[in-house]
Amino acid sequence: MYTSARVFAHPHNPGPSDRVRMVLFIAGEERNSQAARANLTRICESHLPGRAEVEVVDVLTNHRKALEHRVLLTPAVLIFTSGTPARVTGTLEEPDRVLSALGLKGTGAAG
Amino acid sequence: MIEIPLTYDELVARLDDAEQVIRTLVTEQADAVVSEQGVHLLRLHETDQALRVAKSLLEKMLEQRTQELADVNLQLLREVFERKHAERRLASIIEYAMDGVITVDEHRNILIFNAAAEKMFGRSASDVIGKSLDHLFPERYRDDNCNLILSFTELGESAARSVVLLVGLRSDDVEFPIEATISHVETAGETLYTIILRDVSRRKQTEDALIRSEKLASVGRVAAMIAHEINNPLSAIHNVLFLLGSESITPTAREYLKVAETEVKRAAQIAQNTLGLSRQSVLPQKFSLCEALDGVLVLLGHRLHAKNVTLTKRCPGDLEIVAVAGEVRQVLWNMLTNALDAVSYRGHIEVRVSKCGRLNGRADFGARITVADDGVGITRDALDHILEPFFTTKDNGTGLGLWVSSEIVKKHTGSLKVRSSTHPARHGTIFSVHIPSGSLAAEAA
Repeated sequence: MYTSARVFAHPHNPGPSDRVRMVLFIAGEERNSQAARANLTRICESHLPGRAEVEVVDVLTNHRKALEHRVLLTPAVLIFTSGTPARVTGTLEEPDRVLSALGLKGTGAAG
Repeated sequence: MIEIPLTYDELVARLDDAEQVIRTLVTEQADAVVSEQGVHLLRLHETDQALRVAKSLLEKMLEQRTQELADVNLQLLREVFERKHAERRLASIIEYAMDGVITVDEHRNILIFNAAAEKMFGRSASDVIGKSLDHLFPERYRDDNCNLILSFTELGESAARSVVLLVGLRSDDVEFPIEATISHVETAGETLYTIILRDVSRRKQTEDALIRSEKLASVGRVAAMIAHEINNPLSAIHNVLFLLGSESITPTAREYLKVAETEVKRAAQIAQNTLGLSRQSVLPQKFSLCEALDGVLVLLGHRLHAKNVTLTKRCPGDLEIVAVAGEVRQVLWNMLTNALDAVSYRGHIEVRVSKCGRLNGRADFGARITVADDGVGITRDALDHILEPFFTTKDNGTGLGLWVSSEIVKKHTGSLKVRSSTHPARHGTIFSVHIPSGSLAAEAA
């Protein structure tokens, strides 16, 4: 059980088969977590309009969920595509790392 | 508990994670560390504490990764060992299978060639692996055989279970019949064909021999019929000649008459013997061995004469044994025809029949028959197989004569021995047969 999770999705161009599920792990209102949240929202709006489904987990109230997913550091985002979920850690200031993990850009490493 | 990543990709992903964690910490983009004990916030003014936490976290991660790698390594080693063990087990099953096993790819190149196949084709695996299957078939059958094998993909499962007959080619260019079952398997994007082969030469020889013996039996029946029909006019001629002898004729005419009578008697004897062979009793009976020998020699007279062979015979006239007469005649016939085939023009054959005394501690008045010739002799290799069925050194031999003889001798609880030499100065062969008298009668009783 986690209480701080909030789900937000983009209303534009909904395509059920193309939806991308993500889980963003943050630490309350900490600076880097806020930055990561803002950056992810920006990336979703520009690259995945209406297709992203992001669940936010605050580790201060639910650190078990983070451990279940082997998330040891916040901020971090898990991107569920096919197979093992890709993860990007940090403030997500470099959109390319997220886009690579989403398979939307090049073949560069997700990290 | 440490979770062991099962795949290489998963392991790489985890190492990427570790790299990301380090990079995030170094660039101060992190704000909390999550552990079993809870969440540690990493504020800027708590740098020392953050570094301590980060250090212990990294150490823990490193330890965990090392353990994971060791476990993965162990598991991989175990898997490799198990796979190799399974491969070896499968390889030895194939290698020591009684049937020949050949696996080819879709270009007909040989990939597996087991020991039975090596023996069957007289070729070593190292010589044929990687080469085309074509070499294992006579040229005129190559396309048919290979197309038949490769067409099994289209023919489906039921065809793969059926048996096909092919013709193989040994390394010494001898052709032989093969019974084959073919199956195909798709693996790693390629089609492999496995052919399980059985050399059916022996079976084919048996079938041929059966057909031949059936033909011989028919010929025998016809011969007996002719002999029977000839017997009556021969008796009439004999009587007429006898009557003619009592007439007054010139001395020259009487000489001619004598020759005619001798020849008629010989013809009657041949007819009688032919009838005797076809009307053989299968029960043991008392008979004169010398008479039996003479009967066989009469039938061989022409061949002995044609080859100008000198035959010496020693046989005590009073020697009688209790045995199956027809079968003993057959043994004599086989030994004498073999000797006759072996000797050259003007060769020598010696036949000795003698009474046997005590054998194996019991009074046994059987007989010993020895047939010696000064022919080419039998090589040591051939001598080892000479009593096997279908083994022959003659161009048109059946390979059954000596085998049948040895079986007959065995049935009479006797023995058959062969000695031979191919030495240029003293070549020749001696067949020696001992037939105990009355052994079959005693058994029957």
